[in-house]
Amino acid sequence: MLKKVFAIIIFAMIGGGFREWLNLLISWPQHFWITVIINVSGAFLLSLVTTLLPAKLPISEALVTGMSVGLIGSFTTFSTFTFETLQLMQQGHSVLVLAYVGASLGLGLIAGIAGNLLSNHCLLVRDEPC
Amino acid sequence: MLITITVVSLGSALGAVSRYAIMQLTKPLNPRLKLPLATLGINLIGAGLLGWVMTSPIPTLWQLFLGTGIMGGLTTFSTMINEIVLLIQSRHFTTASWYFGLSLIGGLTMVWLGTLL
Repeated sequence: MLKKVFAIIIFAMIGGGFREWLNLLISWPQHFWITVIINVSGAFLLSLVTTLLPAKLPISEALVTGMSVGLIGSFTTFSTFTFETLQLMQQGHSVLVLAYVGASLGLGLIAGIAGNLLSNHCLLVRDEPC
Repeated sequence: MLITITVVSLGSALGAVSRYAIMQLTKPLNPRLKLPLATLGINLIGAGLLGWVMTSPIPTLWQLFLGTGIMGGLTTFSTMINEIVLLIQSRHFTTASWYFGLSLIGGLTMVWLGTLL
């Protein structure tokens, strides 16, 4: 329990810090696309971390919790997604609103399904370097 | 830049631990209902609080700590997506649709209400 909380703290600092670092590093005029990349990549990685990683590598349960709940959980963010959508709506960018919400949720779901299928596939295939 | 990242990092850790605590505490309450109420509640409350924080007249560093950090770490996009994927895979299409719709409409309503505070 304590180990898990400790792992979450350390990995959440990395995940949240990395999210902010990307936001500072990338200076796109339409800054909100960074959130899409963060959220979609995180949606893809989560099932790999929760199912594939512990099956392939001898890592502890605390480490898996730290990486899933902490690292990926803090890297991705739902609140910023809603806030940026609201900002676009209030600015009257209806096309951008649809593109942003569509890309976040549409690509997010595809990424989530892809990550899940890849994990399940790799769990079955044992000889290949999967 | 280093201060900004440190402030967001610390906030994210607080947010993530709070999310884990809420998930663990609500686990025994989870009834036959397939809807992931814990994540939904966390995301909706976090969205509302982020809207409030980001439009409040507080120093930028506090916005970064409370908003980008704590609310960013508390709410999670990846878990929501994966819960929807699992619901689809177990053929709970109605619940998946409700979860999807409630997250999107609820999240937007909450963040909007937050900015009005």
